[in-house]
Amino acid sequence: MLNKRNGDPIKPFSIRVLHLILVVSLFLLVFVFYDGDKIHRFLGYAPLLVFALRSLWALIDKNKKSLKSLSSFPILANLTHFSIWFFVLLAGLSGHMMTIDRFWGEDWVENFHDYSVKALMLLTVIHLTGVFYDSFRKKRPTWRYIFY
Amino acid sequence: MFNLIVFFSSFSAFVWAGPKCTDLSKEEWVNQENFQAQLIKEGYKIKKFKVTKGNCYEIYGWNKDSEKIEIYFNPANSKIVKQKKW
Repeated sequence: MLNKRNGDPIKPFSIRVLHLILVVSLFLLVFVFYDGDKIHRFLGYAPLLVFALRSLWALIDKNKKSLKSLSSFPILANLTHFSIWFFVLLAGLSGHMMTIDRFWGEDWVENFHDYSVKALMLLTVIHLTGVFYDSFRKKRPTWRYIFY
Repeated sequence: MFNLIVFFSSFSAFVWAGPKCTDLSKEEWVNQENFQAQLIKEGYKIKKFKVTKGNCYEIYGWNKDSEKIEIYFNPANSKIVKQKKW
């Protein structure tokens, strides 16, 4: 169930924290530490950790707050969200593979990682477009509910 | 419109994934087999050799100290342009 404040649907605190960690880590990985050096490789596990925690919460949450949060979105939004999680997983796993000797330097693994990240970028744009469209259509600050 | 700007500018971060090493034509590059043979003589162990889109010779391997390295070389003069230790 979503929290409500003055009628606004505020996301549960844990979702907001995980979303913030995901956004910040992906931003740093793509725009700041994109060179594939040690910081990038270390920070690259943050989105995977968020994925794992989010999945774990969905599994163990007795009140089903996690799943109720999903049901509040339109179907296209859920499709975008699941696609983002899918490519977070692919990008993280392919990135990890690049550290294993067997796959290190292999073009197909590097390309896989590259295309996963590009798909994530595209999905982020779609996600943001949806958030601002919802904000415009329903005349509410939709973008804000994931923060406070 | 803003989203499109974000989208296209984000590509600049990784569309050029490696360095650019030379503008010289391939006829002026060191022979690939000779280049790799020289590296092996210097104690490198090469796992993978590539010619990159940035006109570099790139190797994945180990140096003489058994450190895992990724190195981009200028193929015209064999000088190291960028080096990463894994």
